[in-house]
Amino acid sequence: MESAQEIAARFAAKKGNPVLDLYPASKLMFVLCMLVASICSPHWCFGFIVFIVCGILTAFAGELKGFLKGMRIILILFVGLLTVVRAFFYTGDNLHYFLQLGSFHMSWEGVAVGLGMGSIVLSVTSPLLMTTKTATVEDIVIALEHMGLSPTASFLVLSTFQMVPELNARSAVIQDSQKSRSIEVEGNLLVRAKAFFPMITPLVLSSFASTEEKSVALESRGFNYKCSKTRIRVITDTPAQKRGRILMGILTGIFCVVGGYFKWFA
Amino acid sequence: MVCVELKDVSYRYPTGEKKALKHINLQISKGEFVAVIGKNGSGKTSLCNAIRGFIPHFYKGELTGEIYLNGKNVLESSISDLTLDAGYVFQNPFSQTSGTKETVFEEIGYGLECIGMDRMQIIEKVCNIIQTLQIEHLAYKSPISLSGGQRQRVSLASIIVMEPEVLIIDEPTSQLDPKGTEDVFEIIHKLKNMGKTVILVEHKIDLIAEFAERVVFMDKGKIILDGPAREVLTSPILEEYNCTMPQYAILGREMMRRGYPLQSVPITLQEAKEAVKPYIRTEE
Repeated sequence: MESAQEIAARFAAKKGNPVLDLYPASKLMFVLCMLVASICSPHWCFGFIVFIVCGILTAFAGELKGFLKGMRIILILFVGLLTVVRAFFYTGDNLHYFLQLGSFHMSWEGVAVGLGMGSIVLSVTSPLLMTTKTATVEDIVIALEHMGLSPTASFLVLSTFQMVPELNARSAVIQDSQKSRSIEVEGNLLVRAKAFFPMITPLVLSSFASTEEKSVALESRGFNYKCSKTRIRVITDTPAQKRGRILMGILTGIFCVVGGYFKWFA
Repeated sequence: MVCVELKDVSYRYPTGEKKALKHINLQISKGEFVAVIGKNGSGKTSLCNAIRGFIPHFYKGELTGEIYLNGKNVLESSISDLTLDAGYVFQNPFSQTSGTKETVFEEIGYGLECIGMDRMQIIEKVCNIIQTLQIEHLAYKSPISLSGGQRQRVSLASIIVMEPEVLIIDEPTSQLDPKGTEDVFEIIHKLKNMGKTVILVEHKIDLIAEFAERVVFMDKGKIILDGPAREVLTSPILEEYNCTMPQYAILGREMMRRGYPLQSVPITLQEAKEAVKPYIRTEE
């Protein structure tokens, strides 16, 4: 077993990588700024620039593969499909058509509107995915706790995230036991639909049953003990990052004023 | 010094027709290792819940009598107030984990985080307990990925680490193999030697005979027998209630019935060896 000092360092969340070691609040601030800026951005290319920047930062953290895997669905489903749909169905005067498929026409103006909407989606999802790939949920929640989130609320967030694998494991057990009772749970869509209730009912009921014991177990471990809570895992903010967040906010404000003027008034 | 005291305690669950506990009077002194035995539904877990304060603070219902834990009136203290007085290891280890921690190390330290202990102190305490329970190989695993037996050890560790005065342990070996079961009993024995008061609910009667110094036998919410382990575990009353005796006690009683003049009925392996020794013919 490592020494207490080594273990303390292990849970200090410092990994020697500037992106991974960035305080989660700074990453969340980046998400927020990009969301606001994308709304005020006059050009559709903004979201794509954010996507590329996030890709570079994630690559720097060694998480590019996971990032691209996550973004692939968003790029195809939301950006690609949205652009195609908007390009075909956009209506207005003096449209410039460049493609005709039967009675449908594709216009440049529709493509621009579609890309604009896709840009907003990219501006939000890229930094968000970057944040989740480069910070653990617990780190994000600790940062939120530092910002005033109550321990009860942070517990709810964390347990919700951990509940998914727990429920998966439990549903696998239920599925096996239902199979052993000759209930078909695998096959075509109809078979699976029929198996839904025999699967979901015990899952929900067992979750309710375990909640009672879980809550009493937590209570006995001092969940409501009146004191300020401590944590083994620590994350530290730095004055430079605090200044960085303020600067990010100011720059976003300026960008929104200028961008908003060109987008809506010019 | 008495650290657990129940005075004429009776309790009925909100949806229960019969009382789960009936006129319980019990005193447990500091440092005692008390095993609670009895059939399923005899009131063992309800007794533990009452001592820890889950009854009546969490499980409502009809409770009469008085309960004291470390001199604190349980009925007037909240469950959190009693955190450092009594730790409770649940029968189902899957309910014991917080469900918020990514590693076993953090999971074990969760209770200490809740009571606001200094970070370095938590780390040192968790390290010690991990070494004591020999679960170093689990330290950085996700609690979700553990098997039932591994979770049971982690649950035990997460309570022991808080160093409560009284440890209430409800069937801690239900998901363990024989070796794991013996290991857990060794740990509990160590805790007893450290001066902790241990209240253990368990069905493995042979291990109780080996380790416990006092046994409480319950049936239908009542305490039927309460006394030194030897007295209770060799009492013919156990048979009247269809409760199994330790196998060495059964052997000893059978030998006595057949005319072997044993000084006392053995209840442990060592005692059985000693008792049988004079009657074994060796080639020498």
